[in-house]
Amino acid sequence: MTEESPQFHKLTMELRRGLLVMAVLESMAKPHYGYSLRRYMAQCGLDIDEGTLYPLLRRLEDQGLLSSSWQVQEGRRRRVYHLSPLGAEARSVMAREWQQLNQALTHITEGAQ
Amino acid sequence: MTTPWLTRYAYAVKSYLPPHIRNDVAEELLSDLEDECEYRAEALGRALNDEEIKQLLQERGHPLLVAADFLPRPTLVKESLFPIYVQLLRWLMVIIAIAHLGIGVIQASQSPALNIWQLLPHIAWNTLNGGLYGFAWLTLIFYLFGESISRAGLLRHWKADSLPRVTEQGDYISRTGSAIEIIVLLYAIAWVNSVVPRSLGHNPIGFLSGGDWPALQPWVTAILVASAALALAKLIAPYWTRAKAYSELALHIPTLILLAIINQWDSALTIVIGSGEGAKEFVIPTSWFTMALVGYGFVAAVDLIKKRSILNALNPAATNTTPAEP
Repeated sequence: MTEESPQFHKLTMELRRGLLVMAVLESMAKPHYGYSLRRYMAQCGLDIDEGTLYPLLRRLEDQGLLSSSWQVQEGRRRRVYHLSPLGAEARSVMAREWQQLNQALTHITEGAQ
Repeated sequence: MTTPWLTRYAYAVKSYLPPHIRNDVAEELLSDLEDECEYRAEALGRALNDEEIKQLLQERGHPLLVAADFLPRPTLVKESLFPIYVQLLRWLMVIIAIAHLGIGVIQASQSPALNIWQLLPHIAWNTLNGGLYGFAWLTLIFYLFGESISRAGLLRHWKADSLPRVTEQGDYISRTGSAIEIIVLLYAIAWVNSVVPRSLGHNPIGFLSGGDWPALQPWVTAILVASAALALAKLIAPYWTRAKAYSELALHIPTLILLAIINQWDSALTIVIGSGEGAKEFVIPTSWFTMALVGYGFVAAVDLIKKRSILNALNPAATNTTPAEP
């Protein structure tokens, strides 16, 4: 089985999907509209397709983690997303959880070697 | 830089969305597509042509798929209930198929003119028809049941104390066996109480008994109903518990008593096929019932020995050390 095999692809996609919420909340340290967020994340090395990003943004907004407003930027109407106070709290909770998971995984990996 | 292609695409996506998010999503999608076109145009140093725009839309996917990403994905059967749904659906299909096969056989016995090639498509069509109805009803019941379970949080309030006492001895009770048992017993109940016709072709089947058969009939029915209820309990929860083991043993007692009563009759049973002068009589000798009584007594004794080991394994001291079945 190669790295490009469908099974590995599915596994890595599942792993990435679990981290997307955290990545989006972290990226929202400053306001973004959908396209700019996608470009920003791609520049950081995390490519995310629009079919995943926009529904995710909408879901996070429904959960009260993000808020949005329509603004005119460069002569075009854009929906700009902001991190809400609840989103900021969720962001720090997830960051803590991520650190713990990372530590645990490091211990597991070291233990296995 | 809104091109007709982008507008058409956003409009197509919009048409698949519910009214409350339709305009919002379409507007954001259009804005995103324009940004993407602008980004690609900057990279190329010129505006995108129609083919390149169509290629971009092609990459985004069919408007229906894009719209689907924005919609919740409710299911008719909740994921947590799916295993039991599949199991019940399987039984339901088997029961429907057997029921239609049984009806077909009865029809064939009553109408000798019907041949198997006329009957088979009829049975197949009725089974398909009944199966579709069964599938629809079961799915509807599970949809409503799933919704009410979610609201009441029944599965969340589960307690470990509710786990049944089980034993590793005897393993699981075969569900296929229990299903067959139910079908046979239900047919027997219907047959004893003349719900299904007692006939062979055009010839009615009658019974003459030396004793008081009508007085015995309700007791026979009661034993058959109790056995069917027990078989249903085994089908739903296919493992031995004390209640099931004792109930099954207890059912041997009235059965033996009934056989003993029939055995006392001078002429136990005569089967009469047909009516009038052409009627044929088949006398079942009393000795056959004596053999049946002895045979059944032997089966009950073997069952008692088997159940004793199950009951021993089921006592609290034994089950405390036995891991519970999932």
